[in-house]
Amino acid sequence: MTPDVEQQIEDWSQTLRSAPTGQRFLVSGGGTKPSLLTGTGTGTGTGTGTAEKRIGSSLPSGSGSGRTVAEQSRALAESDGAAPQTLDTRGLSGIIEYRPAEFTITAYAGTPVSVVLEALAQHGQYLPFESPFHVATGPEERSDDAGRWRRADLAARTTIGGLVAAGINGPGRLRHGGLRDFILEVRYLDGEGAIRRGGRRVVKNAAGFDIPKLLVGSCGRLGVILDVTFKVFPRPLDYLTMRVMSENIDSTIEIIATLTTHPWDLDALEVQPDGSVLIRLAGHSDALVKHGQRIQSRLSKYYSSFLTGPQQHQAWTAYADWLWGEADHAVARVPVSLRGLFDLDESLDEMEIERAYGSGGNVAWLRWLPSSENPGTRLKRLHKCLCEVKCCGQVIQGLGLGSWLGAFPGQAFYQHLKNVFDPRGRLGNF
Amino acid sequence: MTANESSTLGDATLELHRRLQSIYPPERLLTKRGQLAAYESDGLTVFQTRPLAVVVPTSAEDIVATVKLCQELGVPYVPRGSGTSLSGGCVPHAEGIVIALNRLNQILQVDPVQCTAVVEPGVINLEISKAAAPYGLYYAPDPSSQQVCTIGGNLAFNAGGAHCLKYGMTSNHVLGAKVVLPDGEMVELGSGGLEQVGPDLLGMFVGSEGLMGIAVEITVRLLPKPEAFHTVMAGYPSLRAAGDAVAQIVASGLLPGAIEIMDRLSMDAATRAVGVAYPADAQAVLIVELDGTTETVEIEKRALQQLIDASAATATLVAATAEQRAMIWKGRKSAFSAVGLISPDFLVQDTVVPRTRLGEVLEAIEALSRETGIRVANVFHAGDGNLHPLILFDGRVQGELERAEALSARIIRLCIEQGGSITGEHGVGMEKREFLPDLFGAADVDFMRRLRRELDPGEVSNRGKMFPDGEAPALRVVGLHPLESQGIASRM
Ligand SMILES: Cc1cc2nc3c(=O)[nH]c(=O)nc-3n(C[C@H](O)[C@H](O)[C@H](O)COP(=O)(O)OP(=O)(O)OC[C@H]3O[C@@H](n4cnc5c(N)ncnc54)[C@H](O)[C@@H]3O)c2cc1C
Repeated sequence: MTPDVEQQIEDWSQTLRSAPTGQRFLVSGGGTKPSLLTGTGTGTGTGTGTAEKRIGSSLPSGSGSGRTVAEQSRALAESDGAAPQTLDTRGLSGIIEYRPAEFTITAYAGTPVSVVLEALAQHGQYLPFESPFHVATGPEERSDDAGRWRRADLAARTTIGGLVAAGINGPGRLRHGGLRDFILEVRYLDGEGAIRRGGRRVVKNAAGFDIPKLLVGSCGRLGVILDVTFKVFPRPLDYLTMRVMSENIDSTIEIIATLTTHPWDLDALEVQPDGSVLIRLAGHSDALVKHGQRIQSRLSKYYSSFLTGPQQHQAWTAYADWLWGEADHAVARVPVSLRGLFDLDESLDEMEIERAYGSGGNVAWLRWLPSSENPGTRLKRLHKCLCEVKCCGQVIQGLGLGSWLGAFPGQAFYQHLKNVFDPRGRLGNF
Repeated sequence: MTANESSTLGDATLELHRRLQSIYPPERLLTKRGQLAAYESDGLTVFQTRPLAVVVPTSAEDIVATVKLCQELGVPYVPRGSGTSLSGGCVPHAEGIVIALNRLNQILQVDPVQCTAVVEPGVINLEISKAAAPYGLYYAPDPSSQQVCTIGGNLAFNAGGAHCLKYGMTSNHVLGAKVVLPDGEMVELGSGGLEQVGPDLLGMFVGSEGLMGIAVEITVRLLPKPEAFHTVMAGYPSLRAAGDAVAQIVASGLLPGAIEIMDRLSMDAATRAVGVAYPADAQAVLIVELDGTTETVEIEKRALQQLIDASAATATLVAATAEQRAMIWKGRKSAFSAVGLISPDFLVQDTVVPRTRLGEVLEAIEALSRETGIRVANVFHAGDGNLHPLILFDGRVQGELERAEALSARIIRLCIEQGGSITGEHGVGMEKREFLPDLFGAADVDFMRRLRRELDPGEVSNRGKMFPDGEAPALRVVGLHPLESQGIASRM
């Protein structure tokens, strides 16, 4: 526990307690993708993290998808007039407790993800769900292609609390579970300023309601995350990546189905924007090649190649860079199912939206460049399309940031919980 | 119902029965004493209460109608799967009804492409794996009770099992649920796939012990059956030595499918129950199972052997055949019920401690056992620090139950002091209500209760569970149930 951080938490608690009704608060992380999502944006060096954006993303947006940020901000001003106050969590930084032998780590919400990952790496441990821009292949290298987000920068900027609030997993989700499956305890402020704690710092616990899980993906709407405890895993000794070429979505689906129904313990299975499939195996180097060859012979009707060393690293870096997108692109994340993939893919073609499919076809990453004349058109079509197929998604970068797309399953349940976590709606709504 | 029986029922009960008759045909509305007896308690038999009625829905609509009726009349209901709860989770309320979900037992779909199954809540855990087996798939969470417990009960308690060390609890494998909230509204939680958007509502519902509503349809994840297994049983001179070996294995970076420990008493019980042989001189056995691809298991088994050789193991048995492996697991999974053969009554504890404190805590429990003269058997999920001390007693002896409970409470407090939890997988139920504030503090318990009351202001859904209060009037009877002694009924 760090005294000045604890003081900051006390101050916020006081601020929330004494705030007048109608006052809104926005929780801010590091200003990268996940924290923008939580209605923040403390500046990302590209001019996207403006005050306007901060306001826009906190709006109820289920129906407002496709509205420009300026429109959304006007709507907010009309709805209650009060300017929201930002709570920047970057001041809450530092690892509180790391017990390598217990495989648990606790850090303040504002701790950069890179700091957590480095501490874990020293003991050969990691967060297996990965965040999309910390894809594991080996030692991190810096890439600084002009015009692209720099991943190393992102790792330093993304906060661990932002990661939880955004609830975004990377390729490790398929095999090891999502962030939700690794979070053990969380300390947070509710909308009324009370400091609360959910869960406990042990790897197994069935007592009480699972509040840590609820806060995963809550985007700052249910509470201000103050510190988080994760269960961690030993990091695999080595990786091997295979790239399999697929001609069309039919064969992609066939490849995925073949791979996920066999006991091959794939460490990751991702469909890249160009349609090729990346398969990552993890474990002892001695076992990897033999293991890979078995998979290769099973997929013999497709062209495939092994990637190791820098090649492997390069492939995953390029993929992570794509997921991150370029600054002027809009990016949306849409949970999908393998059975729904064909139809969705066809619709995306029609809408001219680029896509990658993560975690063995369980999530679609969509990316497009908003046209200058009708910037919201694609977003509206996408929203409609997802409503029709009863899917939902969320804009995680660019125009319409934070907007909810498609259906909102379980809304009645959410509303009940919201009534208790944040009865006066100070933390905004979806 | 005989005229005699109905004359003793109050007007409110008769009104309740009358209203339930409009939802249920007579064969699915149980109100006779003899019929109710089977539902008076669950796996924790020290709590027994007779409900006003038991209803047996066969559709989600039945459940919605029942829940709405209960809200209207202010009658508490208890959802019930197979009633194997070890924490009194589905003990009835004396002024309420039981909603028995066993007839909602259809596997609606097994999808071998997406690797999912959609099932009704009353489906037995193991039946899912059986239905998935033709596709080489299975449902991973494996509570020892998996041959009898239901997926609905598993979901409500976030049940675990030996292989949850590597594969995670029920929550990791539930991808979606249709839920009837306590106000009768039906909602769908989760996406049905691995990923979701927005707060993890499904994650919040799983483990809510029937307090937040009833799951009426559940989508679970299926996994390909591991290609290879390597199962080792090693004998140790003491529990502590076995516990220390666990710490070494965990620290090595190996991630076995399961790491379990059984002490001498549990071994003896398992030998009597299912005939499994254990090393004669060992005070504890450690069971470690590696699973994965052939190549990986081949390499990891050498690493494991080195770790075991370097530990204080006195004997090692490697399962050479699938039958030997099955036998090791049969012994382990039979242990709870087997203890019934060596003691007339026993309490099953379920606490968690940080893994590095295992050895220490086990010694402390042994010391408590010596001090109180109460026998304690230990059989547990060592890999994640989840202890199951079995406290043996004879309920016919005046005061023994109370002494057993007092010891149980000391063990729970010990685990909290060590930074652990009051339950790893059996839930809080009725048994551990009083300890919830010790774990979370009064303010956070109060907050959870506010969540509960927001969803269910009258606390109609599984009233009296999870939260500490004196209001749930569960009758406590030891030994034979009154109906049993009268020869009217026997326990399930
Ligand atoms: C011999 C033995 C071994 C056991 N081993 C293990 C083990 O290894 N791991 C483990 O975790 N547990 C174990 N248990 C405990 C028990 O089997 C589990 O808790 C199991 O999940 C309960 O399932 P059930 O169908 O019997 O549920 P029940 O006992 O009928 O109900 C359990 C709880 O769930 C609620 N509930 C039931 N169905 C629903 C539904 N559809 N929707 C909402 N709420 C519902 C009930 O109200 C109750 O609170 C064991 C029990 C026994 C007797």
